Amino acid sequence: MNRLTAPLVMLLLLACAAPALAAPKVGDILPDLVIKAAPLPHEAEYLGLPQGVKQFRLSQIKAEALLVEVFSMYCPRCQAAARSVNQVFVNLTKLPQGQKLKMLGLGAGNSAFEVNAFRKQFAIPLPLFQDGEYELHKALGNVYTPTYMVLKAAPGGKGFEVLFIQEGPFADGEAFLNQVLRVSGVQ
Amino acid sequence: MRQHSARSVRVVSIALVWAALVWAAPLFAPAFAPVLAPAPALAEDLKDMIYDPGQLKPVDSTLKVRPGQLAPDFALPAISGQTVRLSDYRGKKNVVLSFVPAAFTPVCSDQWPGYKLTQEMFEERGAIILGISVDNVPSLYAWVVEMHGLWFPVLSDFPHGAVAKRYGLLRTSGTSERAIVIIDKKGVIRFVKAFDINRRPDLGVIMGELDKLQ
Repeated sequence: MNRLTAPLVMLLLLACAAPALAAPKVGDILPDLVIKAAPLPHEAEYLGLPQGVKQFRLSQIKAEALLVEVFSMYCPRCQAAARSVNQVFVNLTKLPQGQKLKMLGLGAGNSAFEVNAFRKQFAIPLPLFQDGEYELHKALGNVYTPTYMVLKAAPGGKGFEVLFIQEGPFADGEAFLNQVLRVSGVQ
Repeated sequence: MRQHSARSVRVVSIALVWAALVWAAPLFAPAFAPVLAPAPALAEDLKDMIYDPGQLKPVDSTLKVRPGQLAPDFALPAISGQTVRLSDYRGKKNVVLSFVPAAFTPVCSDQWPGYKLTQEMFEERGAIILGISVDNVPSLYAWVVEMHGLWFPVLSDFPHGAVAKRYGLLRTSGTSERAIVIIDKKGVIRFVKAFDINRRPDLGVIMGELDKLQ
């Protein structure tokens, strides 16, 4: 080993450590998150979860892929995007692929009360869940809000592969949905 | 050669221990939190426009007021150009004093837009918010414009945070705490709390306290 070995090893190991704090990239594997929130009855039905469940894993959702929105009630762009996201959800659920690609929102740093306020203010039809302690937000790489991700179960039950990620709102809901459907691979 | 080899092993060992510490620090040492704790979810549009001070001491002052006492009156300049006096609301509105530490910082920059969204909830409870910061009026004005306006008065406690100090909400850094003070229509303090400066106060707590005034 020469004199450069030590700094190189250090850099390599620190670089390996860095992704834990960074936004995920396409191809990354995320953990099978536990959503510590009870879905409303219609949300449980949509997601294919047992009624009355108090918490669940992403892998329990009956879907081939998931479109996850990381939002915050407090984020002005999430507020501005809310109606467009509603429309994407409505359009998706009208399609046959809507049974295979399911949507949900995670309220980063939001309490149940705050998620409800957001839901009520914008009449949001898609399932929304609180992440008051930022546990999910941290597991998802501390992304900005809003962020949209398409996730698909990785082979062997080893978490979820990121198929798509977009930090920031989308400009055209129709184009966004088409893109999401394409990358998710659902037919 | 052997000397080189031993040194390499030592270097690799140190590097491995260091990497392990980086990964495991959040589990074992709160002292590492300022470096490794997850940032609050930051709105995407603000990511290039704000200064992130990192994790701060959660609370750095001692309250000088308590529920049940008459709220100390004050008059502060608002970004509208008017002077707002707390006692102007007596007999008319419940008042929520929302102290925030600083303009153009991550948590503050989404706390008040959240109150913008929930204006109806405050109004249903007969409440007005008075937003207070130790920043000067021009800074607060620019910040509120950046937030596309707010429905409640934003007041400047510049330059020395006299009101924050009177309430026991002035931090040693000279900024105020992230605090909520709820004052009823009689001018009596019904709730006061300096929240963790690194987190938004739960809106549910504020609404719950306002509900008690109904």
